[in-house]
Amino acid sequence: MPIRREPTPPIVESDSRARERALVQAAQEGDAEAFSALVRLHQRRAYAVARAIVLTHEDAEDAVQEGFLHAYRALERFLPGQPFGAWLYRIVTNAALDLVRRRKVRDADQLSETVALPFRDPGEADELRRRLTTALERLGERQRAVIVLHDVEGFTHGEIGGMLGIPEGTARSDLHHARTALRRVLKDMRGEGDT
Amino acid sequence: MTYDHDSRANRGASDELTRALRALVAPPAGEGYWDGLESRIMARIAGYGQVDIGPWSVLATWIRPALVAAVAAVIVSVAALVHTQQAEARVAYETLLTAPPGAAPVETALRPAIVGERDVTLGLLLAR
Repeated sequence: MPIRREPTPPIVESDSRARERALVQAAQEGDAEAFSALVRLHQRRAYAVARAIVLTHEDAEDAVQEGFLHAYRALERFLPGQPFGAWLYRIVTNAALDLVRRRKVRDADQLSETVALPFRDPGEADELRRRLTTALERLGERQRAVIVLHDVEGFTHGEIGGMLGIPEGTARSDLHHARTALRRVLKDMRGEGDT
Repeated sequence: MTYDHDSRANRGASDELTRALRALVAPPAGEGYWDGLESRIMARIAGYGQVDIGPWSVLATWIRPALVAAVAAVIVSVAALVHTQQAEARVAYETLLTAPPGAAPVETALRPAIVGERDVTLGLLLAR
């Protein structure tokens, strides 16, 4: 019996790519509506990328805004052949990393306070989430980014390496170390629960 | 070396970890939030290149004309000063050359100093 294939997803993808390319071209020619459409298309993923690196929702939002602003400024240098998303996420990644570095330099005290008392999120009262947040902060931004981008957002090691400017193998080993560290948090919690 | 071959226990822990991470970094759900974020991004892009300095922006619009006016004023002042000095020198020179015949002669050397009594006595002694 012949296998019935799903109806042509590549064409759909190619359509969306063509649409995106047209939007990029229009935005490069100064069409603000076209850039707005690109923001609508990519802001969720851009937020996820930023949120993987920074520790708070507010910082993620700041990084997304900075990222889109940088992208807009650099739009004329974007080569139409390449995927816009990958280019944009790399810019957002850099904006998020910059923000983390600035935070570290500016006020380390405020950062640790933010980690201990995350804001406006009712679920943060939960012990696991509180411990995870602390453990993520201890990981450092690169390992934190790798585990969230891979395990939560589904990016490949290669894509993550491209975004963070590290070799694929480094992304792979960062993922391993991050998972080990965070699993220890879970294990410790279970251990405490048993006693 | 690969890090992907985890044990079953680790895979279980990974699933739990992934769920916890997903909950931790979950993006805001409402469409209103994303509409708002898009608006904020586009507002920043619209303001790109425009420096917002609040109430000082009114003064800022006058800075350039004020600077131009100040530079022009300095140039005019310097030109007037130079012109005045040249005119004064010319008048002094012409006054000197066109002095009336009865006028006192122009002294070109210093007057002899007032001679004291002591010098007069010394002169008489030497004359003998």
